[in-house]
Amino acid sequence: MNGETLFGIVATILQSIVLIVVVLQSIRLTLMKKNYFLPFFFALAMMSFLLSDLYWIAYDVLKPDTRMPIAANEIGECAMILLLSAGLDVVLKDKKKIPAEIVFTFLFIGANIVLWIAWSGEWLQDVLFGIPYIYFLWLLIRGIRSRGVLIRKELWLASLMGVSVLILQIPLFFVKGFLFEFIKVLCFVVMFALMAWLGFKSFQSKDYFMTLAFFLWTELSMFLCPEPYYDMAFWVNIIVLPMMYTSMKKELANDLC
Amino acid sequence: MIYAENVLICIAVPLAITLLFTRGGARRLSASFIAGMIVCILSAYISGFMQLMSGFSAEDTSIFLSPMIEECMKLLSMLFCVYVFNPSDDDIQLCAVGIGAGFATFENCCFILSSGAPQLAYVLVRGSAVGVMHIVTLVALAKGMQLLKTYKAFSLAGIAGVLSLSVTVHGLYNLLVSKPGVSSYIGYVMPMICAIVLYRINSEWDDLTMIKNSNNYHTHIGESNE
Repeated sequence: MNGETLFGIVATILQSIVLIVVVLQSIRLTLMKKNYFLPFFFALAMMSFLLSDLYWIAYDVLKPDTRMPIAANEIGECAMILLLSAGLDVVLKDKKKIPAEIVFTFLFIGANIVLWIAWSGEWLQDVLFGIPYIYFLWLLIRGIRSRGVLIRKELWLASLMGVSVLILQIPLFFVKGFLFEFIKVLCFVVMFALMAWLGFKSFQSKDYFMTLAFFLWTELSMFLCPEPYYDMAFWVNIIVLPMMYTSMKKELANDLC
Repeated sequence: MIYAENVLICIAVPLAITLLFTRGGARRLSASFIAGMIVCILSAYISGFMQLMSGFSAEDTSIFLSPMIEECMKLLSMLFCVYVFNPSDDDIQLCAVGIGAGFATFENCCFILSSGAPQLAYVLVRGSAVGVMHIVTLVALAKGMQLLKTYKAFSLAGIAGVLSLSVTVHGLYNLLVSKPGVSSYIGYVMPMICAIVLYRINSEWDDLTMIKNSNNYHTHIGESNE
């Protein structure tokens, strides 16, 4: 087992510990017997994420330094996204279906999937496990717009920054030398600037949809990052988990009022 | 090599005959049990086919492909039950338990016939691990479906989410028991722990459903008063 694998295992164990706390707290909320749908599905989603982490750790320990023929742990992440979407679907009051938003989510996640395939070559699982992200992003955009968490200009800015990251990833496949390094740094500066901004907005508003958007961006960033940027995104991803729980609790309180 | 179809006929025929002489829940349980065994054999066919197509080894097939195929097949049978018969919450659970038990029983029968059962301890471990695993994943699936139905959120995302969760549990179990040692012990204990947790949820469930129904009742009363 090399050092990188060992570091990955330690970080994943830490994430698992945070997830266990979040799951237990969500179950406690469920058992308060008032409005148990949202915390129950949130707990299930976090449990899926935890199982995905446990699968990853078990695989690294049992078969170190070998690549999975099918990334079975991604099914757990897929479950998490789908279960969070099922919860959001019930919470979302806005039933407007704006075609531009649907087109954007398809193109944005579609571009992400193309980049994942280009990096990994695993087209079937990338397409299959990428589809839930389209629905999830669509729900998030609708929620953020309808609740006014971000004003129109801010939504445009966030979309523009997200798209810029994807565009800046393309030349990384072709260019070499100084230009490669320059574009890479530029790409990750934009990526982490957007992450910091979404994090600030989530912290400020404590809105469930906003915090999930922040979480989604950390996930997408991790899929697009090589080391050491991957590790940075991973640590941010761990920090978002308690924030998600807090915003879900706030959402529940708002719903009961 | 065993002839799984013959084993299926041998076990299913007496059960099929019981359908003629039972009614209500007992008949539904027997029918689900037979359905579970049929689902098991169909899953084995598909897994074998996928193994040939993908070129995976038998171990990789059991770790990576079988959980997906088996859970999808079990979900399809549950969806058939839900959409065709439109059952109540209790019937959904009955159907899940029957399919899970039928699946596990048939799988264990084939396993014992093909590799023998000389060690009682091993047979006991297998029975309380694999046997429980199939029931646990299906009951979890049924619980998810019940909740989605209760909140009128019976969406594709919800169903696919619950399915993916059960695939992950099953996949993790298969991975853990694939190597001897501590990991396999954790794997063998895992289904039993899941069963206890689900049992606990099941007990709480009745209270929660009663509260939800009573809230609906009060809402209706309030509306009619207005």
